[in-house]
Amino acid sequence: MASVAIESVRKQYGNVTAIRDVSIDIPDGKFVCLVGPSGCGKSTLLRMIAGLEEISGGEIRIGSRVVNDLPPKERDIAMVFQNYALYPHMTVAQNMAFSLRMRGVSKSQIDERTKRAAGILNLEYLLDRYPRQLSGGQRQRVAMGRAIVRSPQVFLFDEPLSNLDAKLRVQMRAEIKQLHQRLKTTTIYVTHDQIEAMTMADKIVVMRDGIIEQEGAPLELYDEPANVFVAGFIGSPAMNLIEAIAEGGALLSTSREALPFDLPRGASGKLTCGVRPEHIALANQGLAGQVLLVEPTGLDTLVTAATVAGPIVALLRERTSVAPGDHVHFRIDQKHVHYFDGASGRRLQ
Amino acid sequence: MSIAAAPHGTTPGARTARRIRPLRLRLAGVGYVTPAMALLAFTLILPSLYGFYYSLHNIRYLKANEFIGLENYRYLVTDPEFWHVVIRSTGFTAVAVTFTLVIALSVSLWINQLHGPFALFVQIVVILPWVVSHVVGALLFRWVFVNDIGLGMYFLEQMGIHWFKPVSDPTTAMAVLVGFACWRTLGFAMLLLLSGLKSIPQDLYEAAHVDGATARQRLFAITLPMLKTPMLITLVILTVSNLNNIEGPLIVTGGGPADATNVLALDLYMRAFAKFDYNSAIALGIGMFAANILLALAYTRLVKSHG
Amino acid sequence: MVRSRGLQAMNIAMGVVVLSIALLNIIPLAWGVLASFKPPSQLITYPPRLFDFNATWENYISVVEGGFMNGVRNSTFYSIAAVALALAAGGLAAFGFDRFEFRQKGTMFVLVIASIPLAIGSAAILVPKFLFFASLGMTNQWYTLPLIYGVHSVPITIWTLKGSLEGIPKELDEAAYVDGASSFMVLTRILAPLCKPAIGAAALLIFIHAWNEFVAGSVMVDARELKPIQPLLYQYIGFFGREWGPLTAAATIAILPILLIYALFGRLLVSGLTRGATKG
Ligand SMILES: Nc1ncnc2c1ncn2[C@@H]1O[C@H](COP(=O)(O)OP(=O)(O)OP(=O)(O)O)[C@@H](O)[C@H]1O
Ligand SMILES: [Mg+2]
Repeated sequence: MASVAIESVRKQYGNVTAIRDVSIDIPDGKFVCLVGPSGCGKSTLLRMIAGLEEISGGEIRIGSRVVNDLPPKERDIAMVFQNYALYPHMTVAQNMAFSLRMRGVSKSQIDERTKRAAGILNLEYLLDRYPRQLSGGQRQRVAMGRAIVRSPQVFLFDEPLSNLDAKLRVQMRAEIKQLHQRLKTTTIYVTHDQIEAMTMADKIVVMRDGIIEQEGAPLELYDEPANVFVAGFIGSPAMNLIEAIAEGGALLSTSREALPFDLPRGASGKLTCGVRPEHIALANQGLAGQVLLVEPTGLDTLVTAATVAGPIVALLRERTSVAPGDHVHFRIDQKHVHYFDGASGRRLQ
Repeated sequence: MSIAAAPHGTTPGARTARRIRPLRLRLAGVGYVTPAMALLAFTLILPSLYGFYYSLHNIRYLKANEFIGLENYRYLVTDPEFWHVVIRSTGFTAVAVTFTLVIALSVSLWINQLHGPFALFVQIVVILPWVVSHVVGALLFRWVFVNDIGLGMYFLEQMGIHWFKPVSDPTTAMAVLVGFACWRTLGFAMLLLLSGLKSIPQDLYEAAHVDGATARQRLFAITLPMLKTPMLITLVILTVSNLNNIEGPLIVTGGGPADATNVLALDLYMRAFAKFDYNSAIALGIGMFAANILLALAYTRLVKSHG
Repeated sequence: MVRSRGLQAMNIAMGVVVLSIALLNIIPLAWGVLASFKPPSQLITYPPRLFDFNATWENYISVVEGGFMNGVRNSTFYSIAAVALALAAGGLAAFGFDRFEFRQKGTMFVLVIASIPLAIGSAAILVPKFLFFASLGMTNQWYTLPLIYGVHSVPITIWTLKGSLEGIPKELDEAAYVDGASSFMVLTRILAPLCKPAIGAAALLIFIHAWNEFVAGSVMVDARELKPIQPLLYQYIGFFGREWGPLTAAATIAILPILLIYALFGRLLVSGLTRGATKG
C-alpha cells in the first residue's frame, strides 16, 4: 500500500489540453473518487496514474517513487475497467491468475492466492467458467478479483459500475466499499455518478475541463460547495440555483422582483443563490409559486413549481396532496442558502 | 518537451527516463513492423529497382554489362510483334474482366438474398477454380474443353456444333482463353462483391421499403451505388490477375495457334525462359510492373475510401 | 406473400446460371480425378466413357515412379515454411500497425496495401527478381521458394490480421499491461488466441498460395530435387504429352491437399478470402 501524489500534472493530446495543472494528494489507504461531467479528463488522469498514457508535464508519485516513466507493470497498481476487459479466452481462474503468471509466481502460490481472492468475492463456484458465461454483475466481480489477487499498492477503477442495472449498482457499491474497508488499499475511483462518490469516498475530487473545481470530504463538498459548478454537480436532486441581483440593500430576481433571501453582507451586483431542495418546505406564506410537477418516490416527494425566481424544486419529507396547477408558498431555510459571485461563480463568505 | 515547465523538481534518473519512454514506445511499433517491411523491401522493392538498373544495361550471362540507356526499351517497342501482343492482351483482359464482372455481379446479387447452407455451398463451389492451382485448373480445363476427344467436344458435337476448333481456329482459341480466365476468377470476384453487398447497412433497405421503393428502384438507388467501390476493387484485382496470369495461356492454348493467344505475361515468360532474351524480357517486365504499380495505386485509393 | 411472375422467372434463370457455373467448376475436376483411374486404352475412346471402366492404380504408379512424390515433399515443406514465415512477420506487423504509433506508419501501411496487387501480379517482376536473386546466389537454395512464397503472402496476412485486431478492444491490452505483460506477451497471450479464426484463415490462404504457385517455382530453382509440385506437373505435360492418365493422376495428387482443406475448412476459407481484399 502506498500514498499517491499528483503534482501539477498536465496532459496534452496534440492541441487539445485534456488535463491542465492538476494536483491531488492521496494519503495511504484512502478511497478517493474523481467525479465530473463527461469529457472532463477523469479517465485520462486515471490512465496516467496507471501508466497507460504518457504524462505531458508534472509528476506522479506512488509511495516515494516517481512513476512518470515507468511502464504499467512496474507501478504495482491494478485497474478495473468500465467494460471489465476480462480476457475472453481464459476462465475466471485464469483471468485472475494472469498477472501472477506474468510475474513468475509459482504455481502453488498462484492457486492459493486465486482461491483466496475468489473467496473474498464469493467467486469460487465460477472459477472454471468463461467470461461469456457470466452475468454483468459476476463479470464485474471477476474484474475486481483480478485486481485484488495481486495485492497491489493502488486500485484504480474507471466507472466500474456504469454497465450494471440500478439495483446491482447499489449492491456492488456497498461491496466495493466493504472490500476497501477490509483490504485498506489506496483506491482511486472514477465515476460520473455523484451518489457513488458521496457514498464511497473518503475524499471527492470534482473536475471540470481538465482542472479541479474542489476537493474534500463528501459532506464538506455537500455543505460548502466552493463554486456554482460544484454546488450544482454534487447532490441529487440538484441544488436550486437562482440568478439574482443585489441592489439597494435588497435581492432581486433577474426580472427585478423581490426574492425572499437575506442579502449577504457586502454583496453587490450579480449573484447566484443556491438552496438545496430539502431546505425548502411548504408554508402558508413565503415564496409564491404554481406547481408544475409532483414526483412522489414513496419515501419523499419532489415538487417543482414556477416562481418569480424561476422553477424551484422542493423535497418534501411528508406526503402531500398538492397537484399540478395548485398555488403554493415555500419557506426557505435561510441558514442553508449558499451565495456565489455572479461573475466568477465562487462562493461568497 | 515540458521538463523545464514542470514546477516540481524531479530526480535526475527520472529526467533521462522521461526522454526515453516515448522513444521506446515508438521503437516498439517500428520493431514489430520491421521484419515484414524488410522482407517486402527485399523481395518486392529491391528487385524492381535492381531490375530497372539492369534494364539500362546489356545483359549477358545473367550479368549487367555495358550501359546502353533505353536501348532495351527501344528494341522492345520497335518490335512490331510486341504491339500485337499489347493489343491482344488489352482486348483479352478487357473482355475477360467485363464478362467476369457482369456474371459475378448478377450471381452475387442473387446469392445475397439467399440464406443458410445453400448460399455457403454455392460460394464454396464457385470459388473452386481460384483455389485449385492454376496449373491443374488449366490442365483439366484443357483436358475437358479443348481436347479433341474431350467431354466438352463430345457435348458440342451432340448439340450439332462443329465450328468449335480451339486448337486450330485463332478466334476460338482466344474465346477459350477468355473462358478459362472467367472460369478461374469468377468465384473470387463473386466473393469480393458479396462481401461488399453484406456491408451495405440493412436499414437503408428498410427505409427504402418504408418509402415504398420497388425492388428495381432499390437496386439502382441503393445497391449499385453502394457497391461502386467494391466493384472497382474487384475490377482492379481482376485486371492485375489476368494481365499477369501465365499459366492460362501457357497451358490451355500454349499461345497458339500461331500467336493467336500470345499475351503479355506469356510473352514475358517466353522471352526470358524459352528464348533467354533477358534484354527485351526485362524491359517488358519493368513496363508491366509500372502498369501494376498504377493499378496498385488505384487499389490503395479504393481500399482507403472503402475502409 | 405473393411473388410477381417476373421475379419467379428471374429466380429460375439465376438458378440455372448458378447450376451451370457449379457444373462447369466441378466437372473438370471430377472428370480429371475419374480419368486418373482409367487404363490408357479407355482414355482415348470416343465418345468418352463415364463410369464403365476398369479402375486401376497404374497411372499413379507411373507418376510415383517418375519421382513426383519428391515434388510433393518439397511443396509440403515450402508451404509450411511459408505459412510460418508469413504468419510470424505478418502477425508482428499487424500488431505494430494496429496498436502502436510511430513515424511514417501511414506511408508504410500504404506500401503494404499496394503490395497486395503487386504480389498478385508478381509475374511482372519475375525476371528482375530472378536476376537479383541470382546475383546474390540465392536461387536454387532450399530457402529460396519459402522466402518468396512467404513474402508474397505477407501483405494480405497483415491486412487480414489487422482487420481482426481492430475488432478487439484496446482495453484488453491495457488490462494485460497493467497485469504486468510486455507488449510481446500481450500479442502472444491475449491477442493471438483471440484472433485464432483469422490466423487460421490466413494460414490456409498462405498454404494454398504456396502450394499452388507455379511461376517462381519453375524459374527460381533449377535443381530437380528442389522443384515444387506445380512446375513438376507442368514438366509432365511436356513429358507425357497426350498421356492423360499419368497427367490426371499427377494433377489429382496436386489438388488433394487443397480439396482436403476445402472439405475440412470450407467456411473458414471463404471468410478468409472475402476478408482479404475488401474489409468485411
Ligand atoms: N486519444 C485522445 N486524443 C485526443 N483527445 C483525447 C484523447 N483521449 C481523450 N481525449 C480528450 O480528453 C478529454 C478528456 O477525456 P476523458 O476520457 O479523460 O474524459 P472522462 O472524464 O473520462 O469522460 P467520460 O465520463 O465520458 O468517460 C476529452 O475532451 C477527450 O475528448
Ligand atoms: Mg472516462
